[in-house]
Amino acid sequence: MMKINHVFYKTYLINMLHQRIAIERQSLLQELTASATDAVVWKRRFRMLGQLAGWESQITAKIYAFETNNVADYQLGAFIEELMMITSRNG
Amino acid sequence: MDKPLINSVNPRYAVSMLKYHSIDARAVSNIFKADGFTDYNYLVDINCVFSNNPTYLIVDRTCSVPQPIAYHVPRPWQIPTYELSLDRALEKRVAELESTGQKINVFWSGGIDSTVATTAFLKHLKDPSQLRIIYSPWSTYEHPEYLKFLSKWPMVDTIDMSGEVYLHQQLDGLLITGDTGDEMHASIDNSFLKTHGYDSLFSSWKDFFYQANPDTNFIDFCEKYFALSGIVITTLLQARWWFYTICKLHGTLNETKLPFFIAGYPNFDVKRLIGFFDTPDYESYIYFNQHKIMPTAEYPSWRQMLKDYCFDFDGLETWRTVHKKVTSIQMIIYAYKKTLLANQRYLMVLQDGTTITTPNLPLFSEQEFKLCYGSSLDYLFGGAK
Repeated sequence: MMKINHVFYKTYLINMLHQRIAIERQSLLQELTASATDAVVWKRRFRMLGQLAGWESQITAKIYAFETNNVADYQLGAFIEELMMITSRNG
Repeated sequence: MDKPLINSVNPRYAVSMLKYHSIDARAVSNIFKADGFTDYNYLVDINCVFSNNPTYLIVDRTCSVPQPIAYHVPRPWQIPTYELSLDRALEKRVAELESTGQKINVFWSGGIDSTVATTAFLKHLKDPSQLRIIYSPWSTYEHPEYLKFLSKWPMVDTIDMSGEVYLHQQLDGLLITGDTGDEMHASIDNSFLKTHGYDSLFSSWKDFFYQANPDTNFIDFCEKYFALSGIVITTLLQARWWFYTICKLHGTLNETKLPFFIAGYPNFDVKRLIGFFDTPDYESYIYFNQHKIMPTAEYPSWRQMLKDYCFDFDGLETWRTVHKKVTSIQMIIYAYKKTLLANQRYLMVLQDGTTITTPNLPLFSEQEFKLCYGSSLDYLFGGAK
């Protein structure tokens, strides 16, 4: 029986996620340089970049380690929600 | 205690968990419907009438509707038998919490409910040093003058939760929020008001429901369900009061704030988290004074009695006259962030504080769920009443 090549799917998913993260990181960096004279904004953006990096490595490791082939188990909406929450300018 | 029931379910995984237990469920906005639970599905329909985007799970306090998930109901509905004045109801609430002898942490967002809670504590606490006020920059944006007013009580602790503090802070004592105020005053979820206007609140619920869902069985169910309130419900405002007080009172607090405290507090006792208005005394005040919830068909009159209550104590007139409802989501954002960053995503929190989780969330599969819990959680799904 043919085995589903879910490694390919995971790589695709991680790739997609990294693209979204790169866009977020880019906008945070832009705001960081644009607000270089505002200590509060600068500190917040810098903190967010740190949190984003931590979350990125955590989520990448989880996707690599996950056991199933079922696309439905990979809560795609959840990733985007989490990404938006980590980079929320309100918190 | 029998097996612990559910205090909170992460709505993102509720449908999957029901499917793993052979119950066909489907998401309706942020809640869900389940096959074989007709009456429960009617409650979801009521929620859809009142909101364009129903959020927060339905926990039926009358315990008359079989639910697909076995929730713990800490305070089942009882028809109030006595009436108290507003000040007396709040004083009794303060006395009840004061008598625990524990530190009282009030999460003050600057909105009406949490400002009333703070005012009631300042007014009635015998020893103000028992009080600690937790705020964020958002609170001062909503109520700019109040922090200065608070400085009259130097013995009251204040803590700014912004920065990294929310990630690491561990507070002792009781944790009081203004939650349950919105539900008691039927003011949760503005989408209905934006669509239909404030005048519609004073029209007949039956006509309105029938237009939204022309199913006579649905209307019959609503009539029976509303009759459990012990009063004759005629207007949409009353129907909203009944629905949100009965079905959302416990769910909202547990879904928004509980994850915040579970993440990072070792062995957190769920009883420490308290909605200030979640008390029979305040419930009976509103029960007999529904005409005061919104005396005129104008939005600013909503909860005017509470704004007056604060004004009588602090004399801050701008807030009394100008303040409108701002949905402060600061604490909710902190809660989500904290659970993500501390890698403590959860599926459910049980009545005894146990967190049900699987190691790879947000990735979630039946295989992993069964591996972690086998059939030990089956009693929480299905024929629960």
